[in-house]
Amino acid sequence: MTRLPSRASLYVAFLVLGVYAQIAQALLVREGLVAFYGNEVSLGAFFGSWLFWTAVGSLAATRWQGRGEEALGVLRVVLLLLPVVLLLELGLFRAVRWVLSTAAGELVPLGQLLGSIALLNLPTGLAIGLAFPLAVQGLRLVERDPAGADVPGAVRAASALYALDAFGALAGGLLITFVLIDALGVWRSAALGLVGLGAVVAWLAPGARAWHAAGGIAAAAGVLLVVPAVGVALDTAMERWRFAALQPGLTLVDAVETRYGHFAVGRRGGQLSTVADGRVEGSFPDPEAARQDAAYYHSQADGPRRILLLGGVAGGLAAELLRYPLERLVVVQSDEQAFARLRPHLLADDRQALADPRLSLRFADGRQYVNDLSGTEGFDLVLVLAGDPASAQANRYYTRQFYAAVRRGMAPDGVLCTAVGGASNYFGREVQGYGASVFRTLGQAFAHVAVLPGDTQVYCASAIPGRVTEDPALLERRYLGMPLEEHRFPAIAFHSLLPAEHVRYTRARLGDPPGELNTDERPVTYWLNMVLWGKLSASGLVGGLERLRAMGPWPYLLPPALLVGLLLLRAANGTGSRARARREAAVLGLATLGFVAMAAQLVLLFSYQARVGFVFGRVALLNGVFMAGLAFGAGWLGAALAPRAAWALPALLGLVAGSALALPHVLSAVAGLDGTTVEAAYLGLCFAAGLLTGAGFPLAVDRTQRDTGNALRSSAVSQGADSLGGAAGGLLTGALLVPTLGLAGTSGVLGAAAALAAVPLLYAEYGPARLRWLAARAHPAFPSPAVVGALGFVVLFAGGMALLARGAAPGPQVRFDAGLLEAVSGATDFAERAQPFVHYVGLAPDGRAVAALGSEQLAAAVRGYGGPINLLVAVDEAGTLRGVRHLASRETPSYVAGIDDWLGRLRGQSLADGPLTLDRVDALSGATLTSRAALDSLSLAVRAVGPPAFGRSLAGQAAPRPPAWRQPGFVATLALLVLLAPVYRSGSDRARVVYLVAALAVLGVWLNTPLTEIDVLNLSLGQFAGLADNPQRWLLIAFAATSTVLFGPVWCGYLCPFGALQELLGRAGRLLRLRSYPDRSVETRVRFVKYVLLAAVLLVGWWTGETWRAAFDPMQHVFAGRWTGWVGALTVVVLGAAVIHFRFWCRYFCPVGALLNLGNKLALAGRFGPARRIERCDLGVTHEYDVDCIRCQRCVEGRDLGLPHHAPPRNGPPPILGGRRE
Amino acid sequence: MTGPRRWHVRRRDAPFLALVALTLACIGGFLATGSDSPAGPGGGWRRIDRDALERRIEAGDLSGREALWYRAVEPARR
Repeated sequence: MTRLPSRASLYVAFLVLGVYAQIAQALLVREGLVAFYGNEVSLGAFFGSWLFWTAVGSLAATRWQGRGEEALGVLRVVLLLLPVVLLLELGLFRAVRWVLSTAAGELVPLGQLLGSIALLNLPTGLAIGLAFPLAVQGLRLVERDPAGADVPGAVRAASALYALDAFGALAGGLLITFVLIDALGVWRSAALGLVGLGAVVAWLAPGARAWHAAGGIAAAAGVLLVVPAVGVALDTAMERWRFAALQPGLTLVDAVETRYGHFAVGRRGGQLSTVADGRVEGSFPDPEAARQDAAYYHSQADGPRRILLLGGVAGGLAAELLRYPLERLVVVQSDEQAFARLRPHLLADDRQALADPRLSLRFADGRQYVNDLSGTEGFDLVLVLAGDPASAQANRYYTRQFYAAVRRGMAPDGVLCTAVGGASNYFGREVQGYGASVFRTLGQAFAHVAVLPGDTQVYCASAIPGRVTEDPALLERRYLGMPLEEHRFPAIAFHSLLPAEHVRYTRARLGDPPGELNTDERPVTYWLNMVLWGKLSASGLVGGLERLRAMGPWPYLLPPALLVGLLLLRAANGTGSRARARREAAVLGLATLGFVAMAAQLVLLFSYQARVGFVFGRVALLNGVFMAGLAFGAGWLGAALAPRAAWALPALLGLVAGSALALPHVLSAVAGLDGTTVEAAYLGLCFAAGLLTGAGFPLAVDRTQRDTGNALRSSAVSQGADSLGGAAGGLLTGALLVPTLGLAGTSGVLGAAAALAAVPLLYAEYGPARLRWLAARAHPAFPSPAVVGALGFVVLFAGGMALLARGAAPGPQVRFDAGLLEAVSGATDFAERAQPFVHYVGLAPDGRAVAALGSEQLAAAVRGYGGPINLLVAVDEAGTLRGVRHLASRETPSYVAGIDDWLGRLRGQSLADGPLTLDRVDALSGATLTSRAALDSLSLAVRAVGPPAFGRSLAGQAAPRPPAWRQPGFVATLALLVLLAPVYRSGSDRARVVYLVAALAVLGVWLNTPLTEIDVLNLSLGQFAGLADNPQRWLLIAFAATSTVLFGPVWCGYLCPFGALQELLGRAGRLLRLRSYPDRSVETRVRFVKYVLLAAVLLVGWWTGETWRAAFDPMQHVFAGRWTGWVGALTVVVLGAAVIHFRFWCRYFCPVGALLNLGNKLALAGRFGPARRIERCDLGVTHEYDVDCIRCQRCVEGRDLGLPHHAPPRNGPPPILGGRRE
Repeated sequence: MTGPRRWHVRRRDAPFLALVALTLACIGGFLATGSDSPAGPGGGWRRIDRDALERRIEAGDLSGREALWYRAVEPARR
C-alpha cells in the first residue's frame, strides 16, 4: 500500500530534479555542440527546442488535472525514466551524424541541424515539462487540497517548487562545470542521475515495495555505471564511436572533455589533426605552410623582436617563429587541460620550442589577456590565429574594440596579422560580405591593411604607413635581409603569393560594397560566417535569414503586437468572463517575461564576454546568479506580491520594459568601472534579471488559478508560457537579434515587447467588460474559435512579414549572364555598361550592334494588372527588336501563360517609326491590359537605351490613351454600379435577377474582370495597376472594398459574374426541382473550407512570391474560354453542382468570397440597406452579423427559397435545418 | 459557439460530400500538375544530359585548354 509522501520529500525530490535537469541539459548541449560545430545557431536551437518541449510537457500534464494520486504515480514514473532516457539520448546524439550521412568536413545543412536537435531534445524536455505540474498537484494532495482549488495554496506550492527547481539548477550547473566533467566524464556523470532519481523515487513512495524495488534497481544500475571499471570503459567506447561518426577516416588518438568543451586528436597516416567541438582546427605536420607563414609574418612586421601568438601553436608555427632572432614569444592558450593532452603529440620541434627560454606559455583567455596589456610589453607583432569567427565567442577576436585593445597594447609601429577562410579565385556575395566585414573592421583600428589572397585570407594591419605591404618585392627584400642561419623559405614565392592582379581584384571586392563593421555591441561577422556556412551546406534557410535581417526589428515585434490585438478583441467582445481575460493576459505576460529574461541574460553574457573576457567559470557563476535571482523572485518577491497581482503583474512588466530600454546605457556605464566593480555590476544585473522574471511566475499562477480553479492546470499553463517565451528568447537572441540589431536594438525590442504585454493585463483589470459595438458582432462564426484564432494569427503574421519583406526586397533584375543575353538576342560578345542604367551592348552575326536591358528599371510606372512587368529586351542599332523575354511580373498566371510565345513573335518588329502598340500587333489572348503594359514597358526601354548604347534615339513616344470616360468598358461598368443602388435598396428579386444577367454579361463575358484571388494577393502586397492604365479595375476594386465595409459582401450577391452565373444555373435547377440542401451540421463545416483555402492562398502566395497556385479558381478561367485540364474539369463540376446546391463554389470554396464575407462583421451602414428577414434564410444565416450571409437579399421577398422559415433567432440555440430535397 | 457540435453525416448527404470531394480533387490536381506558365530563366528543376556532358568532356571542350578567364602573367623577377 503506497502512502502519501511527506511535504519535505517532495521538496527534496524537486530540488534533486532541478540538479539533475541542469546536469542533463549541460551534457546534452555539449553533445549538440560537438555534433553540430558549436555555434550560436546550434546553441539557440538547443535551448529553444528544450524549452519548447518543456512547455509541451507542461501543457500535456493537464490531463491529470484533479487526479492527485495518479499524478504522483506518473511523477514517479517520469523521475524513474528520465535518467534512462538521458543515456539513450546521449547515444543518439553520438549517432546523429551517421543518420545524416555527413562526410568528414561536410557541413550539416541548417534545416537538418535544427530538425535533429529538436527531435533529440524531445524525450528529456517533455519529461521535465511534465514533472513540474505533476509535482504541484502532488504537493496540493499532500497539503490536503486534492482538487488543487485553493488559490493561495496553489500559488504557494508553485512558487516553492519553482524556487527549488531554480536552486537545484544553480547547484547542478556548478557541479557539472567544476566537479563532474573533470572527475567523472560524460557517461558516469549521466549515470549519477540513476542513483539520485532512483533514491528519490523510492523515498517518494513510502510503503510501496514495487516502487522501492524499481528505485533501488535504478540506483544500483547507476552505481555500477559509475564504478571506474565499467564507466571508463563505456566512456572510451562511446568516444571512439562518436569520433568515427564525426571524422570518418581519422583514427582517434586521444580525447578529453574539459570545462571549455570537447577536444580530440586524430590521426590519418602520418598526419595528426586537432578537433575542437567536432571541428577540425588544424593538421600537422605541414612544415612548408609553417615556414611560409613565419616568413610572411616576420616580413610584414619587418623583423619583429617581441611576438604575441593567440592560438595556432600546434602546426609548428611557434617553432618556426623562434628560428628568427626574437627576444620574446608569448603564446596564449585558453584550455590548459586540452593543451596537456595535445602536448605529447606535438612535433619534436614544437616540444623543443616550448622549452625555449624565449617562449612563455600562458593559459588565459586571449581577449582578457589583450584587455589587460598595458603597452609596456612592446609587442611588435600580434598574431591572432584563434580560428574563424564562427561563433559569438570566436567573434570577440574580430571586433573593433578588440583591435583597438591590441593597438593600445602593442608597440606603436607594431603589426597585427589575422587569418580567416576566403576564396582563392572568386568572391561570391557571402564570401565577400564575410571577408569585407573583417577587412573594414580592421581598417577602423589600423590605417593600413595588407591583404594576402587565397583560400585562407591573411590580413596584416599597422597604424603607421609603409609597414605592412602587398608588394612582394619589398617582402622579399625584408626577408632576405633578416640575419638567419638559413633562409629556408624560397623568397621568390612571395611573388606567387601576391600576384598584383589577384591582389587588386581581392581588394576591389573587399571594398565594394563596403563590409559591415563588427563591434562588441553588434557582432555581425559571425552572423556573416553563419550565412556562409548555410550557403556552403546548401541550406534553404539562408535566404530566409537574410530577408529577416533586412526587415530590422519589426518581425520580432509583430507577433506580440498581433497577440495583444487579438487578446484585446477577445476581452472586449464580451463573450468570455473577466477572469478568463485576466488569465489569458497573464499567460501572455508571463511568456513575454520568459522571452525577455532569456534574451536579457544572453545580452548580459555577450556584453560580459566582450568587456571582461570569456572566463568559463565566471559565466557559469553568472548563470548561477541569474538562477538564484529566479529563485528569490519566485519564492519571495512574487509570492509576497501575489495577493496584489492585479496591479503587480502589469507594473512588473512596465518595470521590465523600462529596465530593458535602459540596459544599453547601464552597460555603457558599467564599461567605465574598474576590474572588481565591473564584475560585481554584471553579477548584480544578472541577479536583477532573474529576480524580475522569477517574480512574475507566482503572479501569473495567481491569475490563472482564479480562472481555472486547479493547481495542476494553472501551474502547467504558467510553466508552459514561461518556457515557450524562454524558447523564443533562446532561439532568437544569440543567432538573430544581437548580431543583426546589436545590443541597443535588441534591448529596444525587449522593452517594446514587455510594454505591449502589459496592455491586455491593464485592460483585463480596469477596462470595460464589453464594448457594445464589438459585442453586437461577437456572434461566433466558425466551427472552432480556437482554430480560427490560430489561423487568423498565422495569416496576419504572414501578411505582415510579406509586407516587411516587400519593403526590404531588392529591386528588379537588371543583370544577366551571357548565355541568357545570347539566347534572347542572337548576338554575342556583350559588354556590361552601368551608366546611366545597367545595359549591355553586343554584336549580332549580321554585324549590327545590339543593346539589351531589363525594362523594369526604366518602366516601373507602367503597370499591368499586378504592377510592373520586367522584360529582357534586345534591340539593334536600327531599332529592330532582336528578342524579348518575360522575366517577372505579378500578373494573373493565366494572363501571362503564353506571353513568351507572344513576345517571341514581336522579334523583327521595328521601333524606329514609333513605339509598339496594340494597333500594330495583336494582344495576348484574353489579357489586353497585360499586353498593353508589356508593349509600353518594351517601348520605353528601347527609347531609353538608344542614346547611351548607340548615341541616338530609336523610338518615338506613345500616342496618348483616350480618357477613361471615353473607354466603353469603363462607362458600362460605371453604369452598372450606379444602377446597383436602386436595385439593392428595392430588395426586388426580379430586378436583382435582371441585374445579375447584366453583371454576367458586362463583367464576365465582355470584359472578363472578376475580382480574383490574384487581385487579393497583389493588393495585399501593394501591387496594382496604375489608375491611368486601368481605371475600370480601380473602379471595381474601390467599389468592392467600400461596399463590403459599409454593407457586407454586396459584390458577391450582385456583381460577381461567376456568382451570377452560378445563381442563374441554381435558379434553373430550382425550377427543374433539382435544388437540394445538405444537412446543416455537415454544411456548416464544409463552409469553413473556403476560409482555409483563403488562408492557404495568402500564406503560399506571400511565402513563395508566386501567384500561380492561387489560379485554381474557375472564375479566373471560365470567361477567357479556358476549359481544359484540371481547371476545365473543376469548372464543369462546380457549375454542375451549382444547379443542385445554391452557389456551390461561392458558399464552400471561393477564397475571395471568404474574404469579402468578413465584411459582414463590419457592415457599418447595414441599416441603410433593405431589411433582411433572416428567419427566412435557407442557407443557415442566423444573425444580423452572421459571417456567412452573401447579401443575396432573397430573404426580403422570399421568392427563391427552398426551405420553410425558421424561428427568428433570439437567445436560444440555433435552428438546425434538416437536409432535404424540395 | 452556436454551430452544431457534432457531425450528423447522413446517407442523403453523400452526393453533396462527393461533389465537395470531387471539387477538392480537381483543385489538388491543378496544384499537383503545376502552373501552365513557362519557367523563368534558371527556374524549375533541371536534369543533366549526361551524354552531352560526356561528349563535351571527351571532345576536350571542358579540359585540354586553358580557361578563358586566365591570362599569362610576366614571370616574377628577383
